[in-house]
Amino acid sequence: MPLVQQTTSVPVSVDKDKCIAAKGCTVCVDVCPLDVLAINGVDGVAYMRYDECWYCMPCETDCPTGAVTVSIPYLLR
Amino acid sequence: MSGSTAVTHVVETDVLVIGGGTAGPMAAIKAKERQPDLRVVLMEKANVKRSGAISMGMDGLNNAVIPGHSTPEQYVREITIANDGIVDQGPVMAYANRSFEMIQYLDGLGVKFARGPTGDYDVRKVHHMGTYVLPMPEGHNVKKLLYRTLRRLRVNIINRYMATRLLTAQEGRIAGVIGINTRTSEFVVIRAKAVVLACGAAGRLGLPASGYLFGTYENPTNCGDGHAMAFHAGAALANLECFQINPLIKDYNGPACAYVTGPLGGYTANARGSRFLECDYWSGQMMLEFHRELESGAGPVFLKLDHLAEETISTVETILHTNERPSRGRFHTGRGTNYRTHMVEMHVSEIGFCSGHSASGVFVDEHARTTVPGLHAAGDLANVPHNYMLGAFVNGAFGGESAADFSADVGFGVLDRDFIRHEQERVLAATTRTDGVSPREVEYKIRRLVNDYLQPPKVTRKMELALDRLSEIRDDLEHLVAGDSHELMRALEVHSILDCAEMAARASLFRTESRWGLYHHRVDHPETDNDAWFCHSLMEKASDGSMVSRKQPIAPYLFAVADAERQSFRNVRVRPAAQGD
Amino acid sequence: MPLFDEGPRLSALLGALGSDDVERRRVALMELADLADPAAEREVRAALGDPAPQVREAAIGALVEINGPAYAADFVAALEDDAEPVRQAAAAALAECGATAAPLLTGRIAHPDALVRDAALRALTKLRNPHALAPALAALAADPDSGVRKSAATMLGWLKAPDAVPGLIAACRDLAPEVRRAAVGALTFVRDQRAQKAATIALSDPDWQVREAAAELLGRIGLRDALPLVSAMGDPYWQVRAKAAEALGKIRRPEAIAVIGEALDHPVSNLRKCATAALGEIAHPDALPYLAAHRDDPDPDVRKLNRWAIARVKDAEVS
Ligand SMILES: Cc1cc2nc3c(=O)[nH]c(=O)nc-3n(C[C@H](O)[C@H](O)[C@H](O)COP(=O)(O)OP(=O)(O)OC[C@H]3O[C@@H](n4cnc5c(N)ncnc54)[C@H](O)[C@@H]3O)c2cc1C
Ligand code: SF4
Ligand code: SF4
Repeated sequence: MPLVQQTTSVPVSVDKDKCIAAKGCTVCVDVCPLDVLAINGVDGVAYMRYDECWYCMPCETDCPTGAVTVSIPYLLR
Repeated sequence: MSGSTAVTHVVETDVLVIGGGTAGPMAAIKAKERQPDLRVVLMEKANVKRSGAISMGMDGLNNAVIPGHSTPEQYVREITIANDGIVDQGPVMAYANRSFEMIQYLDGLGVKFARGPTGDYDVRKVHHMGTYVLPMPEGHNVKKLLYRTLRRLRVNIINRYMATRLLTAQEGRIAGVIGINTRTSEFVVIRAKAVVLACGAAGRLGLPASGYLFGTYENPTNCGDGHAMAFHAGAALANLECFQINPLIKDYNGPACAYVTGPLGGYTANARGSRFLECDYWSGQMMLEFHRELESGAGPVFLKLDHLAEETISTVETILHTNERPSRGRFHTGRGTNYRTHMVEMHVSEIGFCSGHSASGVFVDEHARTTVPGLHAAGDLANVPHNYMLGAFVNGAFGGESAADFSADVGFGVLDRDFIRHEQERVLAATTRTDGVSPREVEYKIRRLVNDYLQPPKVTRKMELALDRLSEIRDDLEHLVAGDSHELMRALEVHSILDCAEMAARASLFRTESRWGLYHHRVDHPETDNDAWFCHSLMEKASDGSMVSRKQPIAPYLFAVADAERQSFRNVRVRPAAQGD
Repeated sequence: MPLFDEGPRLSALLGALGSDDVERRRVALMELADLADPAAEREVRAALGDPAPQVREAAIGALVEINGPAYAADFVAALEDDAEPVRQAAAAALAECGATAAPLLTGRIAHPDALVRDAALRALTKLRNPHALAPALAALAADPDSGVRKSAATMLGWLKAPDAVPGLIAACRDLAPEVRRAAVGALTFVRDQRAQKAATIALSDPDWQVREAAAELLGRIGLRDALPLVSAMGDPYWQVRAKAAEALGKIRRPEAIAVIGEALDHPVSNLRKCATAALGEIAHPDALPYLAAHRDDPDPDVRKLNRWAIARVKDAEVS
């Protein structure tokens, strides 16, 4: 069958002004058990790449600059 | 990418531990402590720093056998009763005997347990008879301390490699593992003299009520890879029909009650706010009553705290909203739920395999040895019942030590090159297609069918239908498409999930009786049949690759359990007060 | 085995420590913490003198992972840092250093900064270090910060030192309720009249959690005179009454049966549970009418205990 891309919301947001991924930080990407975070090659900021989150929060807790906010995924709210 | 051009790293080690959550790190640590010059590799699908069920810490030890509060014998009896007798007491006793030593060991690493005013452990009563709960309100540093210990002992850690198949040598013994990097799709082949498998529960079997694939009770990295790999390597799996089903906060799907709020006065109530359970301790009987209440006019079911003092509620909030599942406070805030004024709606979880909370899993003895020589299993995937976190640590330690000893006496098993080549092709197949179905769709479909046909109460005809549907989906695996390495990991997980779903159906059909309350409640075989079924059921891979079940006798008890005692556990439902029970 | 060769990563990180960019230096230290390689010791220790506080904080974190106890003296020095987050990190690091840090910490119980004093006391609590006794007593008596006094009381409870008793008794009258509560709890190790007397007075403390701690203490250490506990059964807080009932059960005083029996009608089942259990502990025939009248308690846990209590009373009658 042919495949398409679809829009979906993701529960994790990153504050661009606080994130220091451009300086080499990858903490949130490292700790996420589901491996759903990544660093954006264009603006050098961490972001949620896949909507597969356990809302477990190591990304938020371990971020050295407090840039990450985890919300409850929409379907659970 | 194709099998022949794939990058493959080859590693040799004495002891290999697969899964770096709870049992795995302890296995690696204890193997090294046993034999410091051994090479020990710890392989983890995520990152050992924050992987597994205890990623953010834990609220407490649920099953601490501490001198002065309970005895190993008492514990073994209770676990026997809680599992309707289907228990090999040896491994349970071995756990109980070492449980206190492990608490002290963890304490020495810096894990903080609750203490009374003069520094003694502050043990709480929750279980039916003994006293076993040791809270850890500041337990969020457990993983950090384990990681530090692994570093100090120079255990080699391989993060972000997902094991896909165990490798066995001709004579059937373990030879290593093959796995794939979840970001680069590079392969690793690890040759090992002995292996400890600690991949956790099979938590992505049923679909949570929210419909969100990753909103599971278990950490969703634990999708049943370990169960599937053990099966394919020829290990026996025990009592898979004894599902894990837990009472949880509805939609949030996190643990609710018994261990934290129970000792402080909270309890499970029906819509009228009355208790209907004698004991909130998680068990199949408890879940059956919970399910009945949910389905009856008295439901739904709630966690009731609104009768407690302000100070008590703040304590509950600090514990529940900072450790273990810290997003819980956000969930309640989002819905405007306040413990002071609202009861919190609860629900049953999706089904899974998890010995941490029930009794199913890879069959092991008191040294965590499986039926495959050199292969050990510990934690939520091994069948020592009601393991929980401390059980994962203790059995992990047994596994690590036994693996160290085993590796001292043997060389490497000979690798089967053809097998490795086939496995690489199987693994990469989804990357070679441009048309087909996505892992997400196939996973959703399997898990939706699990809910439709396998969620207890179990019905024979429905489970047969499940097998038909699942076998159709097996053909669909040939159409999975993975756009990148991450999706490839998800595609491979779908294979494990499907294997587990099929094992769940077949094991459930095999045991033609009802047992363990809701966990194996068969509507068309409603009675417990001790004459025919007082035994384990073991599932193994037949020579044609199919799943076969057989009965295995229960090892002779160390401690006899009287019928009356057994009955006491069955009566978990509150009887009407007027009967004066 | 290239998979485990962390040499290149180490040299890259050590290079990044020389960067002009504060955040790069900080990130490098976070990574060095992860690596925990003793080979980085010299550079990481040097970073303790970095101009940027977040770098100094990260350096402490890295040293903890490399081998915390070996750097206890560095952490103690960092307790004097201008930046509070650094001092906090140093305090936390010291708490994980174990016995090596004890002598360094005892000297800090009289530090000018309350954060440091509190951290020193907390770290010493677990070590049960006898040399900390005198400074902790001084802190308990005179520290201006109630958090520090509370930590001192807790530490003294863990120490279980007879010499601490007068200080703890005095602290049962501290102005801050959290200090009184900790002091009352700390007296658990004292098995004599002094603790009984202090607890008896604390039973009429204005703060209910202090009263609760007092009742709990009396349950643990026992009390010859049941009267104060009997009057605690009239406390407005059910939590206090529950502990008082437990305590009366432990000392098995039949004269308390009537007041405990009244609690069997209370709407909160936790209290009914404690009261029922207490009647079972006392195991005296006078309790039978109360227990019999509450066989049908709405709470199953209470009913279970009720059956157990009645059986105990009957057993006691037989023997
Ligand atoms: C939400 C929750 C709350 C709990 N609360 C408590 C409590 O309060 N007290 C208590 O005692 N117990 C509690 N438990 C139970 C306890 O946490 C578990 O029993 C225990 O941690 C299981 O340890 P484990 O090592 O088997 O699994 P985990 O710790 O989950 O580790 C499994 C690891 O295997 C890895 N893995 C999976 N597949 C692969 C693969 N293919 N290749 C490589 N690695 C892989 C995973 O990434 C994971 O790190 C709780 C469990 C949950 C989920
Ligand atoms: S941990 Fe924080 S600072 Fe680091 S990459 Fe992630 S969001 Fe950015
Ligand atoms: S909450 Fe957990 S699963 Fe979600 S992005 Fe953060 S670390 Fe990953």
